[in-house]
Amino acid sequence: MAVRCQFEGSNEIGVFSKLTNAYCLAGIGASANFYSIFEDNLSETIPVVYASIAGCRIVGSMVTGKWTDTQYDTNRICSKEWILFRNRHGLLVPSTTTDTELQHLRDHLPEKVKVQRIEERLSALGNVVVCNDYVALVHPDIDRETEEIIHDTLQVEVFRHTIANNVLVGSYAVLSNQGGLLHPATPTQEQDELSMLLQVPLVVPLVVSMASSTLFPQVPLVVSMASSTLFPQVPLVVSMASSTLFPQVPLVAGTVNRGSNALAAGLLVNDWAAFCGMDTTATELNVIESIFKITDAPQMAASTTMRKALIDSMT
Amino acid sequence: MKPSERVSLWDEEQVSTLLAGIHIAPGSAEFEELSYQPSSSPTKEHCSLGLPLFRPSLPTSQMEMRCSYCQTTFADREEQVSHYRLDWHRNNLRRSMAGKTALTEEQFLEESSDISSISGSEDSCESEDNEEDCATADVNAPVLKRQAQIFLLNADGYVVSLYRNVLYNKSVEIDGEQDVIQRALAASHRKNWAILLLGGGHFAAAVFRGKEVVIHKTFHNYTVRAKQGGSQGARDNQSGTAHPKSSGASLRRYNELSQRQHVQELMESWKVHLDQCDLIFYHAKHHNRATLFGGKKPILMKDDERLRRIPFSTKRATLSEVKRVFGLLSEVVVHGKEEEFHAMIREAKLGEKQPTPKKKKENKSNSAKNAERKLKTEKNVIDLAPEGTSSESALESSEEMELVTQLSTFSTSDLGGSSCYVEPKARKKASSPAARKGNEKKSKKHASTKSKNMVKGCTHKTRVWDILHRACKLGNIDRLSVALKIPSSVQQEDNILSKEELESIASTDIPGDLSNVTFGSRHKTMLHVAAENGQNDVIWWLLDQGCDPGVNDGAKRVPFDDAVDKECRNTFRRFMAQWPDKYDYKKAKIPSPLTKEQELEQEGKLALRRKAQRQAKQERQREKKRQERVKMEQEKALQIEEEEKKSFLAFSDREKRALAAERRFQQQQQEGAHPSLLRCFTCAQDITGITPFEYNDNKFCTTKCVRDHRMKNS
Repeated sequence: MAVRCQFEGSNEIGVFSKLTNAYCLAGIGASANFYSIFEDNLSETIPVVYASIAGCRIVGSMVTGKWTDTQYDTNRICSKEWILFRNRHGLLVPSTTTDTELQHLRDHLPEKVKVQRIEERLSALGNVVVCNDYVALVHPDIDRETEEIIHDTLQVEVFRHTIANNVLVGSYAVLSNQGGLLHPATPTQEQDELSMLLQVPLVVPLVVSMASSTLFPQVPLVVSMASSTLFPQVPLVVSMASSTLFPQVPLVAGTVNRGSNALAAGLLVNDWAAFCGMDTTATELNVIESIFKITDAPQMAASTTMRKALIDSMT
Repeated sequence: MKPSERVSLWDEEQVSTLLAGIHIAPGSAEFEELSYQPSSSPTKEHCSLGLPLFRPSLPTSQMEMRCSYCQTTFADREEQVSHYRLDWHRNNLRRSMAGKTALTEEQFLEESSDISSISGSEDSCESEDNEEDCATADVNAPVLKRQAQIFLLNADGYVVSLYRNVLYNKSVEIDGEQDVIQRALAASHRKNWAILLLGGGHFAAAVFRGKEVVIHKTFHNYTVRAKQGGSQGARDNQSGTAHPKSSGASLRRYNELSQRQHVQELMESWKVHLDQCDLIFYHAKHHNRATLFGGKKPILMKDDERLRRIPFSTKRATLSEVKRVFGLLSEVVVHGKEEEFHAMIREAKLGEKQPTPKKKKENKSNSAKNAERKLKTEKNVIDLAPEGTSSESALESSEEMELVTQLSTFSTSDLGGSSCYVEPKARKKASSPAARKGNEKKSKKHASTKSKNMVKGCTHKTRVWDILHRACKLGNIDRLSVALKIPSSVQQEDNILSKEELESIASTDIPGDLSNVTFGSRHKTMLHVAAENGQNDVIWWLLDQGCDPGVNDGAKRVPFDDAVDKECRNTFRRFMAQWPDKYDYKKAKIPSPLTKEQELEQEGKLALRRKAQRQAKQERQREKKRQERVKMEQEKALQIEEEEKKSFLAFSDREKRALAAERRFQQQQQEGAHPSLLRCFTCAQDITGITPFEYNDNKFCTTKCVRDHRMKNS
């Protein structure tokens, strides 16, 4: 079930927090209400860490001045984001992060999560990189060294790409291992291509894996609520005989926050939870839940079997 | 075929050749729209709803792995992954962002031999590249903003344009190039047009078939408020204001209604024609829309596909305007070859960017105008650049420069000239004679050798005039006579005037007619000056010497008008009495002569009046004194009473009683002196001098006593 929330009156919750399968980062200084939403939903399974990056609580991202001036559409709220960039394997923070902040992060994150500080001109890492646990899409102009570090630290395949002619892939796309939401102007062709690109070389995911387990009998099934300690044990790459067997991540173009196309700013997703801005409409929420497969099982029943009964009785 | 040639749509031959093999001209807004937008682009509404606009790309095994940037396909995943690490891919990515076509692998390899590295971290190379891209993009493909026309490129390579509204209804979106082409070709076959213009109480409508007018009608009603503008209905609908009840207002109100009715009736009668029309163009703003679309049976339905707005401004609704609109709408404009069209776009683009400098220029010319105005206000008008005055708006920058330099030369010359001349004169008037000498020396030094004599003459004259003026003002007849070179009967003192003054007097010519000697800008004669200052002797002397009192000064005032007091006026009158024929006294405005007898008579009268006045005054004073005395007495009495009261209050009660007894005793003594003549019959009170109450000759003090007496007796 996707949850709507606000960070001090702002719907751009993605700017102030980050969510992965292994941990959740939240900008310091928010109201207890904001934290409690995360803690209610997540603290049983993953740690919620209050942090700041370079003295700013917008732990979402980081932008260099030059970047903002030249290429970035300043109308977008997330242009001011300072994102650090993460998946369950690791966490990349920009070079402006202080030592104490780095130490704080290392202290509170699970031991398996590597925290790496990188020197990158495009320091708004969250705006220029989007990834799930297997694949990362990056800004076309990102440094080659950064690309290497991303590949090593996060254990992902890195693809330079754009989304709907936007270089800020991190702002206009949200990915989880289940699916992805793209900028609303993304052409279908591009969606298909990205979907192919983002195919997960190994079947881990939860509901999908259950459903398609017949296809991959040799792959061990992982329960959706698996604790973080389980993750490293999953074999990373299993070479399959045929590429046709590789599952792709379903993608959809959509919006959050009542028509905003700055998706990353309005949406936080991992494999079993989603948080979005307070303005998000029910339709948008529905799209998000269906594409990221964040639907509770009983509710699934309600929408299928029970619904039938309900509608019958009404007619 | 020339550029900007206009061909009527109904000219079939020409139109068919013009529109042969058309497609949308590159560079126009439509071309950009149609080429950029994917056929199934998401609409704004969809986005806000958050609807999934595209079917989710479901995992399909049939889909091939490809990179659309590099136009390549991959056999397997590893190939795909490695492709994205290639410089080739990065280069193509960047090219696609800049709007350029992708390079094939071979092309890239050729190019990359020149480029050593293509790392994203190399800023300099990248930025240069970007700039270049921007530059080329700007020059090669300027795009015209969305225009009222649709630009089409025909088979001969000419760009022609048609009004969009001729092809499309406002609510209809352009749906692909083929759609445009079909509509453009069909346009010349849709010959039945109607044009309706409404505005400001004017109505004009016509139905055309091809070029011919089938039917037309125009009329006008008085609905627009004079001077304020706007319709009466609009005024009435303003909230918070009263409905004007003037006859004009009600007239306009009525006319609005009647116009609406009239138009609707007319259109009803034209229904046959309107139904046949292929296109209906209308111009109706504000409340006029209600005339066309409102009412129970509207003339036109809002969703009528044939309805078109007129995409340019129209003038007053008349038949000729309707024809003009029809002409403009129904023509195909040739913009020349494709290159010429692009040049035109580029110019248009430049024009868009220019407004700021233009504005500055305007400001400049404004400031120039202001400067010019200032110049004019200064009393000396200098002949400026003639273009500058005749067409102010057309001032060029070069003219501005000229104008400024002229301004500076003018100001210095003017200042220099006037200061040389005016200053010493002014100072001399103000300063003492001692200081004057110094000044003169100075001024002499100042004067250039060339104009020395002239200046000297000037100073001599001014000095003499100065003497005359002062003499008239102060009443010094001796000085006056010396200065005017008139021999005086009185023995002269030698030291009346200084040597220099005498010298200058000697070197100045005095005009024969003394009234020609004038001072200052108001041209006052000496008589004026003397009259102003009440110098009666001078007045008499001047009149005696032949100074005409009938000469006006600059303000058309004669000396008599300027006279300060009666004595001064009398001087003139006395002179008139003595020399009744010497001057034209009517002209001098001197009313009547004043002879010695008259004066004596007047004096006698005056003496009598004064005597009477004196007597009256004495009387008044006497009266005043008496009143004062009475007042004093009263005050004294009051004072005594007050003192008595005070002393009485100061006594103790015993003393008061003693005093009362003493008084009674005194009273008794006094009564003894004046015996009472009458007493009340009952109570025996003294009622001497008081009118008594009486009956039967019995006298009483009060009615009570009367009653008591009667009671007793009866």
